[in-house]
Amino acid sequence: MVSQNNHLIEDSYAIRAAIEKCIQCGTCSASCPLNNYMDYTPRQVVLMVREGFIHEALKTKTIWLCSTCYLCAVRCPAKINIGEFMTALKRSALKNGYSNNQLYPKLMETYAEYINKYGRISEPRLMIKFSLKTSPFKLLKMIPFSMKLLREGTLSFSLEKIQNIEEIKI
Amino acid sequence: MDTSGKALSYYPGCSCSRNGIGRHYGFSSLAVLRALGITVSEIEDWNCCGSNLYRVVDEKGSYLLGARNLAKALEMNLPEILILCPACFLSMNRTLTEILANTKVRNEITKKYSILGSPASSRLRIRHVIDFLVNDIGEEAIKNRVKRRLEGLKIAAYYGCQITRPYSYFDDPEFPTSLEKIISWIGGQPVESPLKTKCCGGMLMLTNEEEVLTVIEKIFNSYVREGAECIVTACPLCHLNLEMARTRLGKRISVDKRLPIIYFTQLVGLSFGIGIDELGISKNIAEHLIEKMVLTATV
Repeated sequence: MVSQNNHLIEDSYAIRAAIEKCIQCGTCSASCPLNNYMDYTPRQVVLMVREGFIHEALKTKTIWLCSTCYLCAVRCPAKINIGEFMTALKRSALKNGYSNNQLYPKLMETYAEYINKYGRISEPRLMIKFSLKTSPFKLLKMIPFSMKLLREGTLSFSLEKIQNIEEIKI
Repeated sequence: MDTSGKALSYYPGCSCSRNGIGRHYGFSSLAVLRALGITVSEIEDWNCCGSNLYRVVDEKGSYLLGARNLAKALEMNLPEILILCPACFLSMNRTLTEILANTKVRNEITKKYSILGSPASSRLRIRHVIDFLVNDIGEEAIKNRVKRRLEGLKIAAYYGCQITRPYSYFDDPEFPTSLEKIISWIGGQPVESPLKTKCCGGMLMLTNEEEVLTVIEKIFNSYVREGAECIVTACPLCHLNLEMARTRLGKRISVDKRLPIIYFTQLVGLSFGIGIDELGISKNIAEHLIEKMVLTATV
């Protein structure tokens, strides 16, 4: 990498493996279930990082559309774990404030808040808190489906806290 | 293999615990294992595995989440850990891999949980319930326990992504067949879909709904084309997403409103003759399934 933006990206195995081993075949791009909604394909994002366009890579919508299903990873002929590469980019983006008005970073932060406080999460609470932070009116849209869950007996808001929260802190 | 009386520790994770959205997956799995003579002991005071989200916010911390649960399983002297949720399965496997591979992360972990640095940690094994049922319990024991064969019922297995990826030690990462085996052992007729391990979008359902809906639309269409009369899932998030997508997609898909989407362990429990309350199957769904079975059995 010969970029002045190198400091923006973490120096990890996931990133180095992609830079050093990628053969630019595009198998990852073709495998991705959400490829047609991305602004750059996964193959292009690897190329951007390799050629030093770090700022541009962290700005892509692509990294926030990766759901880490690892289909790219198991198909990659160079055995690069693209899912981990994307995770490393997400981490670098979050650390340097590149959330690009995407909702995903907010979701992760809300998720982490629950873990840091309780050591566990509650999906219904997570959904509500996340919606309140982003688009509260979306909660109205969720009512019919929530009623269905309630009828089936799978909706509850109780959340048990682990005994000693310090045990999960470094 | 004689597995009756075998003991494992059990990590329910947030979703499959009694407060979780996938509690029926948890209840039905435990009921099925009980019927097969397997004892599982829940890891006391377990914590969230962190899935693939927490590690974006705090990577080091995410390993501690997994490590605390692994250490508790070792302290219980039950190093074989049964897991249902694929996200938990993935992240606990990731932590275990780091510990066994003796990486830098291992040092961080063992500073806090010294038991994981002891030789005992090499006994730790993460077992997905599918893996355990197919490879330890096996065909004979399951067939022997069946009280009501699901004769002729066309059942589609939807695996989702993270059960076999990237840790694919018990089945093929893209075209697994374990669930189809179980379906045929209980008398059902497995239907194949090339999209059975396509990702449901996971948490992106909350952030990028429209994009995710188009993916699930394809999954539904592929199962409808194959004539599925029931879809079984093995992941609480897949299950939630399929149900939510079915409501949201409405007329965009031609899925029978009554098509049951249930956890595969609920179906196994049904064939074992376990009560629907214990399995968390609604009366409507059970009646629908039984009706289909009788109809096809008399043809």
